Amino acid sequence: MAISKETKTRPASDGAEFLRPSEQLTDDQLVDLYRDIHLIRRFSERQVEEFESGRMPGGLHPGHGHEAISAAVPRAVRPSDYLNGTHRSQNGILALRGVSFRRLWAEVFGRETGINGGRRGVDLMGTFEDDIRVWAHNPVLGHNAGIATGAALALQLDERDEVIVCLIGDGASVCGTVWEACFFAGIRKLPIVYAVENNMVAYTTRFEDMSPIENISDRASAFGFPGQLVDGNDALAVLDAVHTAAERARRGEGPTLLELKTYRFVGHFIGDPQVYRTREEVSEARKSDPLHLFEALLRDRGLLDDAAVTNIHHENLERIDAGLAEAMLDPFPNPADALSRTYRSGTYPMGYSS
Amino acid sequence: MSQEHQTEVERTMAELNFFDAVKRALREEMANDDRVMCIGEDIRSHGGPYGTTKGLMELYGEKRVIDTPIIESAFFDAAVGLSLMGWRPVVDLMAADFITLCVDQVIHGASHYPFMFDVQIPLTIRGPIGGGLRFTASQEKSLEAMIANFPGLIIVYPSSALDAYGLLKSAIRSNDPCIVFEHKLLYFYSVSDEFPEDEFTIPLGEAAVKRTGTDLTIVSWGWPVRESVKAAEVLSETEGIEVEVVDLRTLRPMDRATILESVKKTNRAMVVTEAHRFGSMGAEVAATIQEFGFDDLDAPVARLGAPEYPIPFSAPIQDAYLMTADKILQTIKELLV
Ligand SMILES: Cc1ncc(C[n+]2csc(CCOP(=O)(O)OP(=O)(O)O)c2C)c(N)n1
Repeated sequence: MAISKETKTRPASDGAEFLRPSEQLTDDQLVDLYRDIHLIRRFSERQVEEFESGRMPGGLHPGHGHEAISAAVPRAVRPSDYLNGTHRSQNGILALRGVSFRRLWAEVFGRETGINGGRRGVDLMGTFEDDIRVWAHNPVLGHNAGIATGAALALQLDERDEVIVCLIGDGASVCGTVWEACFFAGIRKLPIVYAVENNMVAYTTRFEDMSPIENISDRASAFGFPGQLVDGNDALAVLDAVHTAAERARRGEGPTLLELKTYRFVGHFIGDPQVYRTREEVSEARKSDPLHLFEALLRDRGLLDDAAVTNIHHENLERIDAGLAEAMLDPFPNPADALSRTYRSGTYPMGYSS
Repeated sequence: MSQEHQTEVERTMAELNFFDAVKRALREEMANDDRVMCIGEDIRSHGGPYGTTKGLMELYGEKRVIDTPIIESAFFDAAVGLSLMGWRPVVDLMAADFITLCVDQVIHGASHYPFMFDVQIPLTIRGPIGGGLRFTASQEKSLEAMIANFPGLIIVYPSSALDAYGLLKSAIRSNDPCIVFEHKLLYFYSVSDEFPEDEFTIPLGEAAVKRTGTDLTIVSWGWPVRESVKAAEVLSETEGIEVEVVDLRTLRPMDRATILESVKKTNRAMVVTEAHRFGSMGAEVAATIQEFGFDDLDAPVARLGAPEYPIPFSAPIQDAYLMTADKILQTIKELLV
């Protein structure tokens, strides 16, 4: 079951009105979207370069192939809405929600100025800062969905106007907690959008070996809310689907399960021999590279030419690398301060056995 | 079982049993802070397994008392999410044993997030714990050690109605994630205390000396504290041995000072637990005494705990498994007489 060439975005399974905010995007906004898709790709590529150079600590799960999702999701909702990405999409979403490259790189390199003060590390970072609202990804797969569902419950209890979009990997989507969360959200009609970034593989396990049915979106019927299959390489399709689902949630009509079909172009980790798939499969999938698809679309519409593309690429790289240069001058956390965040109440004996 | 003990809190402020004490703490904290909420299974009309949340929904509304399906994993995650959104959830587990279903959230969420993300997770988990009611191993085990290993968590384990009340209130008010273990026998035997009219709290992280003595220090928590005091009374009468009983009350952070002070006086220590000894909190206490109070010790720290098999069902083997005054008494006699 390689990614099917027929993956076309379908209306949601409840047939409700499908909004197309993409049709209202101005030319400038379309070019901006392209800029962001490229920015996210380039950021990830730069991370891979840093990692391969041996400078970068920890592990890395590049999101090459997921950029239509990372770039479209923040645009599909209001700036006040909550987002919760996966280890593939989170980096890009954070950058688009205004976290500086300095803070992102500083986290990648374990600096005190990093978005999590060097306590978290790359691709699982996130933040509960109220002006950013990109909730951290929980590294234990599946629990994202549960925590985001709690946020949705809080939004409902507080009668707030915001919604949360929770991204989930296809591998994570089979976790029990995700199912539990979906049942609960379905019962209470919580203001949440579950969006699965289905890149057809989890670590080394192919999608057909973890899902007995072809489309994750079909699972939604069990939870009593609509499911929708979306071409996750088509930024505009993602934008429209997430927007429709978010507005539905905002109206109090409950969750939607979106399946954003895409493909992971690189290994699960750097150095992954990728024995679980053929080179042919990867090169076939690369024909639907979201970056190239969108560039082609904008070239077709006369919004981009070679000079514009070169210019955007150049500016993006400059932004990313300027942040990197700044971050590398930033201090590391001081081990003597490390305990300070463990307890909030702060009045307990903090000694060896406390 | 709990039904007959559902005396209204208002009826008597003089004496409250464990059930009423917990109930009073919940009611007061919900009244004091409108961000305090309860979430769990069957907690609305049924009031949870021991009836402690019964009536809360009528008093504080549907929003603040939330029934969930049997989704421990997700509702505990949800409680983390609620905490991050400014709520102060009190999570009701039907049995403390079911914390195994949400241990990920307790550890990777509640205990890690404050450190990693510079946030506070002001949630409280309540779990009925311990044996004696023949519910067997999946609903009667003592698993405090499993949770106690992780910094960031506060673990409370009262042995009396007063402590349960004062500590639960502190836990709910704490900005750190707290786990409150409530020993089921405290409910079952309707253990009670004299209560003052006025609200009060008991600080987290402070042990209490439940009986003073000069010959040996028992460090314990939960139901075995009561068995220890019972044993100490008998020893005093029959052997003239005076045992001091230190009730940890909060397992983490552990009140090292109170333990060491007592050992300084008695020069002998014994840890008494319902939990297994291997890899246990009791081992932590013994290690602490040996590490920091070695010069005060006249003998190695003794440890009493459960045998190394899961807590069984049948009365004779379950009784043999549990910590009793008799076991404590016999052990002390062997040590001291
Ligand atoms: C509960 C749990 N099990 C296993 C892992 C190890 N792990 C990390 S990423 C991954 C694959 C995840 O696949 P998917 O959700 O499809 O996301 P993808 O990496 O494909 O984007 C696994 C198994 C984990 N983090 N958490």
